[in-house]
Amino acid sequence: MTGREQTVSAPPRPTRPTTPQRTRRRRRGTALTWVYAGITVVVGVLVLLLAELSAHHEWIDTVIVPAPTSVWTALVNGFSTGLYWAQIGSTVEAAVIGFAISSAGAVLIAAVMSTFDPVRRIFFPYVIAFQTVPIIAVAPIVILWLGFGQPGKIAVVVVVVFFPVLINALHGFELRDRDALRLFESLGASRMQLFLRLRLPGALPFLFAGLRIGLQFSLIGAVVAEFLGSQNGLGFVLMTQKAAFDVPGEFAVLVILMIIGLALNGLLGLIERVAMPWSARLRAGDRE
Amino acid sequence: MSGTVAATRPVALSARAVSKTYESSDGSPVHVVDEFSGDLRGGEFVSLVGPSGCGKTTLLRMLTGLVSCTSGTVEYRERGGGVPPGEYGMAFQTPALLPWLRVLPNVLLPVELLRRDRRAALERARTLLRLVGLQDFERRYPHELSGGMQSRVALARALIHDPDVLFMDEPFAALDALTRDDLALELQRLHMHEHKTVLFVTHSIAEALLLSDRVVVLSHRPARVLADIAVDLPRPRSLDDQSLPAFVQLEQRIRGLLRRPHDEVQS
Repeated sequence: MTGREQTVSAPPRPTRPTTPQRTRRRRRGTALTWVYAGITVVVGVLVLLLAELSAHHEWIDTVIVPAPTSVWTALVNGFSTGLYWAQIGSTVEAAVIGFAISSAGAVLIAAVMSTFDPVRRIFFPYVIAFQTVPIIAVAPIVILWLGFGQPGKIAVVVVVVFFPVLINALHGFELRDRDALRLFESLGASRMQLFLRLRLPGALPFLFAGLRIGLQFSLIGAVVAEFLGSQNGLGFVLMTQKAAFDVPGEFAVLVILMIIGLALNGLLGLIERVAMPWSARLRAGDRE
Repeated sequence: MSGTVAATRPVALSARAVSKTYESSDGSPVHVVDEFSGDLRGGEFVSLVGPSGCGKTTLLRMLTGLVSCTSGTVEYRERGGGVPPGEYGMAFQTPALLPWLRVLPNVLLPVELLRRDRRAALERARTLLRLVGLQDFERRYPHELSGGMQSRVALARALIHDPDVLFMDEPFAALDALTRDDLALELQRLHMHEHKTVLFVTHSIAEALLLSDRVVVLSHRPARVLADIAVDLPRPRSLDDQSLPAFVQLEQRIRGLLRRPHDEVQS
């Protein structure tokens, strides 16, 4: 967390005025944050510099580690010729649509399973069984069923994202505070009230943990599906570049995938903060 | 209000020979409550004192009808059955506040669950928060409050829907001794203000005597009534009253009653 966020999320405290001591401590914390951020950047720059030098002096074969500048050139070329945009769109579309369908379904099913005990007891063994399959192994069959186009890719993403989200959601929807449950019972709360006012808000931290994993898996699913024979998407680009021994191009696509992953993850983090304002405050409170 | 005044009030809740038997995991029956009988009069403050694990929580849950009785009957205001939801408030060993709600919505939660008018309850919520000294904290999250403050919020929440009966299951169990004393006095103040019928479960004999019109002493599991002791000390009672001879005498008597099963084991 950066210093700026910290001040934004700090709650107003009318009864505890900010003493000079507290301000100083916070300021020093902020300064340290910037020092660490600076070191992080320096480490990255040094590694890139080393890779560049290695490529120039051929310490390591450039087929294995290409020069960062050549990767940059490949990136610039790819974008200026318009090669990447359509492929990025295709991959991101499959990942995001698949992720949305799958996580919505998984959360819904987890909600039903945790609210109706018989449903959970009947189906939970299947959840465990399917969870143990290295789920990406299902991709070829799914592609066989649905073809190499977007539907096949989306379906692979759905399958891959489903279980991590489901497992976390099931865990999240469990009631952990016995007295809170008794309170709801004592007030004659309906199943719906119990779900909306106790299970769901209590599950949010677990749901977001599951969604984070699911989001990572969605990109994996989309790219692997494209490996299997798609005619578009970043996975397809990777396969064609591999065939052409275009190593800088391969690294350029990896950079793009990394940026997509970071962007999607950041978006999810933003939603998380809006959905759970109390937890941002909890973290701010812990710092004192 | 003394015990004698309360004794003239109509009976609000009565239990007749209530027993509860569970089946344990190995199939053998476990007697939790054994033929418990007692009356709770309107506006009366009664404490249940007994060894831990003696079945007090189960007894409370039977009185509300959330747990069925194996035998015996519970009757609330001659309507038959336990106290229905909405007619009673509850306080638990933990404050059980919802961490995602600020103080005010936490207090208002019962009103929402009972689908009553939230707007009308808002005024009462603020009054109750003022009564427990938390009027400046309504926009805080529970984790920003101390344990004692959280228990105060839970007290206000138990009273928000203006219930007829208040069941309190060791509500101060998780607090330190000083905070506990504070809260006991606060509860007395609330009780004198609200005149609720209260059933208060505690392990603290002093706390029971400080607050109650009557103290019902329960045996080790299965819970049986060992004694039903009237506390005829004037209100409001203070912590200093705990050194009065009448108070000390009652305290010793109850302690003696609770010691008995232990002595039987030794002899």
